[in-house]
Amino acid sequence: MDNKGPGKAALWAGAIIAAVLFVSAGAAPWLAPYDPGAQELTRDISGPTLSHPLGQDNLGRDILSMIIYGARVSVIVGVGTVLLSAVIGFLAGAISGLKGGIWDQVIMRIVDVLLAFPGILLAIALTAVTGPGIGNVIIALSARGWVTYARIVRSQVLVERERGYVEAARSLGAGSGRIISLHLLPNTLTPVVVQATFGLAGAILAEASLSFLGLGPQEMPTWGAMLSDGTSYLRTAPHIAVFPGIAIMATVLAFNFMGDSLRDRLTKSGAK
Amino acid sequence: MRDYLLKRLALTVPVIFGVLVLVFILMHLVPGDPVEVMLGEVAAKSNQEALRAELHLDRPLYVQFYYFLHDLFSGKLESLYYERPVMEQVMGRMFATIELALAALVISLLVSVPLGIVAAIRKGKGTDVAAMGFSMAGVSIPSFWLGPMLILLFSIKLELLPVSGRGTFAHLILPAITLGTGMAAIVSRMIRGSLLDVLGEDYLRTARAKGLAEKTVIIKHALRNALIPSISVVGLQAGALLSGAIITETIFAWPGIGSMLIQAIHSRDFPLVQGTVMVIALSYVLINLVTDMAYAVADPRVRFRKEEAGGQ
Repeated sequence: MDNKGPGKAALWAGAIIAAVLFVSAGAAPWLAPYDPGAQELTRDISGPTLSHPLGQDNLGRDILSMIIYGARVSVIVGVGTVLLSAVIGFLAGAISGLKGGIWDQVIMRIVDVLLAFPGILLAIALTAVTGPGIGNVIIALSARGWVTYARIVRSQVLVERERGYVEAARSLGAGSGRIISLHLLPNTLTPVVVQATFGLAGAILAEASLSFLGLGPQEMPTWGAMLSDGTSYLRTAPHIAVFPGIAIMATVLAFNFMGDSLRDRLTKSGAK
Repeated sequence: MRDYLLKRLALTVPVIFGVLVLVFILMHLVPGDPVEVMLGEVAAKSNQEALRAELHLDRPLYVQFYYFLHDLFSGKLESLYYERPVMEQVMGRMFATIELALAALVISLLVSVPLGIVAAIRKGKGTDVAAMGFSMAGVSIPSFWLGPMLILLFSIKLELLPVSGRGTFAHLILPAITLGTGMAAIVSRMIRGSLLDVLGEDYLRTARAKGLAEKTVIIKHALRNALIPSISVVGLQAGALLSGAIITETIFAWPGIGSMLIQAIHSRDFPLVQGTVMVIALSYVLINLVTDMAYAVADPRVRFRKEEAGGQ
C-alpha cells in the first residue's frame, strides 16, 4: 500500500522508455539521421557534435543511428524469446499440472536439468554450436527461458484444478485441450504476464551479453556488439562504449520497473 | 536428518545424468558435419577421418555417449586448440575462476548484508529508498558495461588499478566488483524482505517488552532468523557467479575457465567447449546441493517438512 505512489511512477517511467524502444525499432529508417552502416573512414574518432549528437565510432558510423537500429534486434529477440518461452512453458506447465503422473515427472526432471545451467551458460553453449543469427539466439534463450513459465503455470494449475469449475467441465466431457485453452489459460494469465515483463528485460540483457561475446545476431547493429567494439577505444573514445550501455541499462530498468509495478498491482487485484 | 540428506543426494543423480547427456548432445546440434566445422572444409580428408574416429562420431549414438564420458574423464579427449586433455586444461584454469568468484562473493556480502539491514530498519525513509535504488540499478546494469566503466574511471582516468590481467591483489578488485554487483543487489533486497517479515513477529515484541535495546533485538534475535532464508538465495547467486564470470573474465582478460570458454568457441574447439560447460554446470549443481543441505541444517523446519512430505 505504501508503495502505491512510487509504483505508479515506476510503471509510467518504464512504459515511456518501453514505448521509445518499440517506436525506435519500428520506425528506425525514418528516425535514424544516418544510415547505420555508412562509414567515414577519413575522420578521426569523433565524440558528440551537433551533427552527430552521440558521436561516431571507430569506423566513422553515427552512434545514434546505430543505437536506433540496434533497438530492432533487442525488440525482436526480446519479444520472440518471451513468446516462444511462454507458449512452450504454458503447454508444459499445463500438461504437467493437469495430467500429473509420468508426464509431471518427466517434464519436471527436464526442468531440473535445464535449471542446472546457470544464467546464460546454456544459451552460450547453444549459440556456440548452432552459430549466430537472430533465430538461433531466440531458440537458445528460450531453451531455458520456458522453464520459469512452466513452473508458474504448473503451480497455478495445481491450485485451479482442485476448484469446482475444472471438475464440472471434465464431468461434462471436456477434454484436456479444451480445459487448458478455455478454463486454465485465462486463470493463469496474470502471473504469466508479470513474468513476461521481467522476461523481456532478461532476454534483452541476455541478447546483449551474447552480442558482447561475439555470439549474437550479426545481421544488424546490436547494442552488445557496439559496446564490445567500444571497449577497445576506452582510452581515446569512451563515448563508443558509454551510449550503447546506457541504452541497454535504461531498457532493462524500464521492464524491471514495469514488472515490479505490475506484480504489485495485479497481485493485489488478484487477491481481492 | 540423514534421510533428508540422502533423499536430496539421490535427486541430484538424474540431474547430473541429464547435464551429461545435454553436454554430449551439443556436438550433434552443429548444423552440418561437426568435423568439417571444427577443421574447416579445406582440411585434408585424412585429417577429417582421423578426428571423426578420435571422437567416435562414426559409431552409434549410445556408444558415442559412453566414449565421450570415458575419454573425457580418462584424459583421452583433447582440446583441438591447446592439444592437451580437456579436463587438464579446464582444471588448470579453474583456480583463477574460483579466486574471482570468491572475491566477488565476499564483496557482495560485505555490501548487501549491511545494506539490507539498514534498508529494513529505516523502511520508507531516504536510506531505504537509496538502498533499493542501488538494488534495482545493480540488477539492471549489465556487467559488460559496468566493467569497462570501472576501467575508464579507476584505470584510465585515476590510474589507480590495472586495466586487465591477473597477479596482484590490485588486479582482483575491479573484476570482483564487476562480478559481485548483481549479486549484492539481489541479496540486499532479499535480506531487507526477510528482515521486514521477521520484525513483525511476536517473539520480537516480547524481546522489546522485556526491555532489550533495539540493537540487541535486531542483532541477536531478528537477524539470526532473517538470514536463514537468505542462505538459499546466496547459494543460488554464488553458483550463478560461475556463469557471470564468463563475461567478467572476457572484459578483464582474466585467465579463468570463462574466458577460455569464449576462446574455445571462437576457435571452434568443441571438445573444450563441452568440457568447460560441463564443469560449470556440475559445479552449479554441487553448490546448490551444499546450499540445500546447509539450509536444512540451519532451519530444522525444512528437513522435518520435507521428511514428512517424503514419508507420506
